[in-house]
Amino acid sequence: MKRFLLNGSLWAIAAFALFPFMVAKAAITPVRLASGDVGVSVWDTDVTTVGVSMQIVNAGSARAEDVRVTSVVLSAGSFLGPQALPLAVGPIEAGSDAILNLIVRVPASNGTSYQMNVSGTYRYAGQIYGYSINRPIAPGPSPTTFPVSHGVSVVQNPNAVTYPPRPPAPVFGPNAESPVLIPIGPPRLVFPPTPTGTTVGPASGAASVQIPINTKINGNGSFIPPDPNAAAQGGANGVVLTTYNSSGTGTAGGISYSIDGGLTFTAVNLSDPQPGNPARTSFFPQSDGGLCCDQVVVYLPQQNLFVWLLQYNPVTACATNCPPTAGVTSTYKITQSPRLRVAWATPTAIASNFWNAWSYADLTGINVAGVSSGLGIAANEWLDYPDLAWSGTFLYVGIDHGNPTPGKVYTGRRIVARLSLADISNVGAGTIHYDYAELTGSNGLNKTHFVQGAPGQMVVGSLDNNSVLRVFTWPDGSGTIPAPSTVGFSQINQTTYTAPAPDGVDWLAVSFPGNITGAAYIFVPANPGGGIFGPPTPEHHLYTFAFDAGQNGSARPQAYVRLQTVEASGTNYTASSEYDIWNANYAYAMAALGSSGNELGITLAVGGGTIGYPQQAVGFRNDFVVYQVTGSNATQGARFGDYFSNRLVPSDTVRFGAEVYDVTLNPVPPGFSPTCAAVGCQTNMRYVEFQRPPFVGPR
Amino acid sequence: MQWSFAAGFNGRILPCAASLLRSAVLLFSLLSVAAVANAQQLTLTIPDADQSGLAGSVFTFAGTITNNTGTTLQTSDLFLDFGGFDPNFLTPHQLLGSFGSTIADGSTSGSLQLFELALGPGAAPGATFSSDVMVQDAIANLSDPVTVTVSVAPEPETLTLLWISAMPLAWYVRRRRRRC
Repeated sequence: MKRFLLNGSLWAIAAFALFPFMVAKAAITPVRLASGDVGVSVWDTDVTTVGVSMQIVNAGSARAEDVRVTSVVLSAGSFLGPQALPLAVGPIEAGSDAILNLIVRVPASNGTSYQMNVSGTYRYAGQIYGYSINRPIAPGPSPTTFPVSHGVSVVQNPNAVTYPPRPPAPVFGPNAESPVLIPIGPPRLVFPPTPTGTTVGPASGAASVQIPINTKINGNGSFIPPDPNAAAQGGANGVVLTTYNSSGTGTAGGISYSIDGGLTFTAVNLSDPQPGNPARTSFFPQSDGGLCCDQVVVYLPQQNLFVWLLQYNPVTACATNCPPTAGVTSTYKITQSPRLRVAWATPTAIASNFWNAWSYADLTGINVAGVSSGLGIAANEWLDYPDLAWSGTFLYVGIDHGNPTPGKVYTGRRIVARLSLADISNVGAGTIHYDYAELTGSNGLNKTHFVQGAPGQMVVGSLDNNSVLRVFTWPDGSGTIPAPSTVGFSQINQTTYTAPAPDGVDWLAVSFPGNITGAAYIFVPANPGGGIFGPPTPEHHLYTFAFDAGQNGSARPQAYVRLQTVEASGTNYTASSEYDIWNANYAYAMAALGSSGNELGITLAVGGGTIGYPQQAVGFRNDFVVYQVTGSNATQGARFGDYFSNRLVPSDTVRFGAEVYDVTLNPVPPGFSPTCAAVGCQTNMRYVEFQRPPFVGPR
Repeated sequence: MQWSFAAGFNGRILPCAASLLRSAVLLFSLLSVAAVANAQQLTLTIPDADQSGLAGSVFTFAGTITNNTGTTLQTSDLFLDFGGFDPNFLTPHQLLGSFGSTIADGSTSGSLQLFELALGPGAAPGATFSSDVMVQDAIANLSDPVTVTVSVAPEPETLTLLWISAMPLAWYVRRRRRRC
């Protein structure tokens, strides 16, 4: 008996003593702080000073309270600010992140890698714990050349291709969650701040701004985000196309078309079979991982063509903890890169038979024989957040380069391609020739938007940091992309983007501050004879870039939009003017720009403060008033936008079109709170045209 | 509690129950190992995760990294994150990446010098300090955390005193055993 007890006791002791070594020990806390993406920018005023914007991610399952940074150490160099340590970061929810903006000094900005250590404390369950995050940074000069590759894409007839079954739903969201990281740049004031605020006018417009069309298109369900986009042919019987994401079983995207200038629309679910033709199981083949989202449409008056871009999902497969089971987190990998589909049709063909009007060519991620030469990404990477623009020669396509982690994109990279419009508009062409390159070297390249209407060239801007704009130019006649030009601007505050709605949802904090949300070109002709009061003036080529700016003291108590205008001299640019769309009582954000050649049209978001729920508004630059064209009574919650468009509508006056959306709360049963989270809500797409009053006097 | 409860049964059943219990413990332990050994895109393994030494010491931890990210990784592109430690007594310092090497996709590195933990001079003898550590790459692949510990050993003088004071106890136990 004693012997057994001794043996048993020894077993017990041995088992408990060995247990920690036999099994992996549970983590000390369920908080897991790590670095996410990092943006680095060398200051143009002092190349040893570097702005660093680092995402601190909580990959754990519990909220980290009161996160503080107490130490920033580099393997060589020093911490400069922006404030003295410790820095209060605040709480970081599980699965969420915070952006840490630092200024450091390094011995040299020549690409040398420096190990950066960020240490501090957080609180969990009432106790203080330490954390220590390591991340190398390699500040260096931005590249000045971007190799251009050439490709060919085969023109496809939707009625002569096979239609695979729709693949299973992707395992990650429709868009990248990667933030656009804009580090702190050198403080500077280039122009005096815009003294006049911009107010919000009614949907009926005003004497100087008419809003003849504000049509409710349809409900797209509750898909987040809706990604609205629209383009119009113009005229009373003109074709209008509006695209959006939509929800529902087997549904990913929708398009609505109008053949009466936007007064009425017909909705087409892109996942439905063609009426009367069940063999065509969806509008276009469900290629790769199936239709995703992020549609863009434009109308090219010179070619009399609508161009429609659709983004497809990559193919994914379970990578770890397979097969997925409840309670265990599986990870996924990309097994096949996706494609962008570029389709085109004439307004006449659309009006005649929408389903049979289209031809298309694909831009695949990798070379796919018989389809396209690819865009130079790897087979386990993906594409996200496209944009379109055009000149007389090329259709430009921009897209973020997604990395092998599903849902993530490479920071500071953007692939641009230009497709031959001669090929696209040639009915007999069997292939479309295109060139492509990957722009790098600027943090804000992610999700950037082209300049609309740039004459004879592709122009795209990007924020290096919060006081430097980098402008990339690709002249149509050039086989290479020249070195980009940098322009200093009056520093914005990029840290405080908040505008809580009445339901408490901060609709602005979840957008993508830091990207160029819209851009457009204006030409000011020379006045060789001079004016009555002044000397002769030269012509001006002005490029205006819109981006979000955070709250900044008493002068800008709400988030606002900066319109940064630069003047071109060849492919070099200099600062021309700054114009803030701001108001002390509510926030503005996410401005899309269109140009008539001499006036800028704007579509943007406004909300928070005295406006309440986020709305969309339209108007013209220099009016200091925009007009609210939606009537939302709720906030979707997670995302707003993700983007807007503003397109010139061919007309005898200055007229622009845009798609916007209302968010409408579902009926609220007794005992429920009136929020989308509690009772759900619907998104209703709208098409809006606004204009200057037509000239009615003698011409 | 279960062990003292088992000891209360009659002698014939107890060995059997004990054997079953032993097997259960072993099985549970092995199953637990299997549960945490499932593949992540990055897996950090630290064989000598529990070390002890004097207050004020620096402890070096080595281990291996398994790469299932789909691409070859340079160790200089990997970095470590620490959390859950007592910031008053532990200071982590990454060593990984000081000497570059590659880890092919689907393979496990050789033993790498990963990091040091500096134990504060004021750490009390007998105390144990823990830290979670994870490895990650530049595109946010993150391993599961591994918990490492450092235990504070008594100072040599204290150890001598302990031995001296333990000697009568050892004599007493030896004497009792002889009587039995």
